[in-house]
Amino acid sequence: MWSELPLQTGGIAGGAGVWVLATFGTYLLVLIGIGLYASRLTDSVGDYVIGGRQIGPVVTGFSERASEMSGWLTLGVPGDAYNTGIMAFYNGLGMIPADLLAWAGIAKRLRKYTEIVRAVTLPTFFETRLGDDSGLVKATSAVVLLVFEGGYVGAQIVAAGVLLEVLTGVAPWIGIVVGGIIVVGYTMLGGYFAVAWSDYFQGAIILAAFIALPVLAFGAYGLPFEQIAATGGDAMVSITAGASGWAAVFGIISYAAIGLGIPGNPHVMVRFMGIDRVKNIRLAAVVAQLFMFVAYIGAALVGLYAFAVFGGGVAGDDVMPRLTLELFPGVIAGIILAAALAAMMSSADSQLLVATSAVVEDVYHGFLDREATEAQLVRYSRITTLALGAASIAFAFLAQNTPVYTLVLDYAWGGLGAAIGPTLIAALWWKGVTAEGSVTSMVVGTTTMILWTQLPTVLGALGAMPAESSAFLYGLVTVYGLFPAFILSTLTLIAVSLLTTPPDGVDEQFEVFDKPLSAITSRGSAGGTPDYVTDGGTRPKAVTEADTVRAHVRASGYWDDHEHDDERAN
Amino acid sequence: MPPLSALDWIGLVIPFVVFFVMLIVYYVWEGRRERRLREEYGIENVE
Repeated sequence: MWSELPLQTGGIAGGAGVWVLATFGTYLLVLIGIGLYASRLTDSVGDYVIGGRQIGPVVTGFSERASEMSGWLTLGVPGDAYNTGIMAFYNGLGMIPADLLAWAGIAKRLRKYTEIVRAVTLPTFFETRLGDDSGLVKATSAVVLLVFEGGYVGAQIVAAGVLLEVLTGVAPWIGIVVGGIIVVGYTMLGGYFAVAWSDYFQGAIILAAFIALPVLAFGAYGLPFEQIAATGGDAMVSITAGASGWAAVFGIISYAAIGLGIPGNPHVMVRFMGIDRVKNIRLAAVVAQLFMFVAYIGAALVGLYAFAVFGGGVAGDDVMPRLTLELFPGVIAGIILAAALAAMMSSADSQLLVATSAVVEDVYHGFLDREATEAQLVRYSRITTLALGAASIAFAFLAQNTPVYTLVLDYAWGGLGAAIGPTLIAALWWKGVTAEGSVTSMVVGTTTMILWTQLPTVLGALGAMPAESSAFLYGLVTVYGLFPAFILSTLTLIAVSLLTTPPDGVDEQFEVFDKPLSAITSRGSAGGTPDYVTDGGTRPKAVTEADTVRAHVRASGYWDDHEHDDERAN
Repeated sequence: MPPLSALDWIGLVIPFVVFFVMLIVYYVWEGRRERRLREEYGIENVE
């Protein structure tokens, strides 16, 4: 094998030879080169603003899923399988059907509606749909995005730190600081260009790795289950991780509840907004779903094989890179791990941009200075990105001992899911939802998610933690916080909305949903734009993730579909 | 005794089979809905 050549490094994996580091480094240098090249092309906010929605179904389906191909799926899920056993296959238990429901029930409605009201961010969509003049819905959702997308960036930085540590043997904090500087620097440089490219192609590399790793491992070791049972005991090969009764029920609920996060996570929803044609959503859904089947089964198998090969005692986050180094020749391992790091960077990049746009576009430009120039907004965007990046590195440093799996679910995914999800679903399906209901639901969802995560610690400190023998109470306290937070957030939304008055003209807006888009945009004057279109009240738009994805796809010429744009422009 | 009991295998495989069937049902159902819309509005290309 290549990695058996001399010139070994001090990486803790031991197999990370010079070839691994050489390909890893080359790959990243190429990415930085693309970032630098892109930064020369993108001098104004206007450069990022793309009016046409022109991402094809395959790229949309891929990138909708690949946005999760970040630290959570690459390192987190294999780590969970390594620690929990075969129950980790249940990471897909809620996610796969919830994603299908989102494609079936949200994608087309959101795509049509946001095109008609020209909304490119979720806060602007909520403001327009709920007819909120006070700006409260926009401000609250912007704060939620800021906090939890910041948590997401922190988790990606921890994951990047883990990869650097496994490869080079540096101390974890050095990995985090270096990983953080790379991520923030990349975004500052104009890493916008690389977003869709990363999500699509790097997603493909990692997906291929998640197919190849279990296949190679099967060839070398056969089925892992017997070895796992022998080393880890029967719980590792039990579908309930050895639990029974209420403990098993709450265990399964915790896995299934992960799916509740889908409608609230903006980086998933913007994929729906950015697709080129509504009719392509059906195909994109199939691509995304097949991607999920392979990724979830593959990621869990990687963790299980790692347990069979290494036995216990390895940190969960380390198992995917270590198995990659074990099973692949150095050059290929270097490419896979560089792709993994690049995917984390691009996810952190998008999440940092979502948080930045929440501050600069939704709060600063929307409230504080409506007359701000493009140059000012670009400058403020860069400063905000730097400040948020620094805060995320600090968060990553504090949270470095928490597994990436937990970090994402508790401090990012769950918060967004509980706060934004119920409002998003209601905005598209229920005429009775009001701005007041939405704001209180966001506050309740956020608060419950944060408090529930800390509940075992707080109760433990007070000596009031239920004993494990009282299975129901113990299960309830330790269940994944998104489950209670989503339920409470939804109940609040319904109760408060029923007590307040919904905005006028909702009936007309809802007509949009049941008609083909062309049947709506072709009627009336002024290009067929209905009167409730507000364009969010401000121009120009600052950077949003949807813009960056579209910008990149346009720049790459991947979907050479400009005739379609010209028609739309006319 | 094999490491995975029959119940574990069922718990492992059934959900993924159900999800796959759901995907097929969605694809077919959504295709029919789109065709109905095209016919209803007389549009060749449903956007």
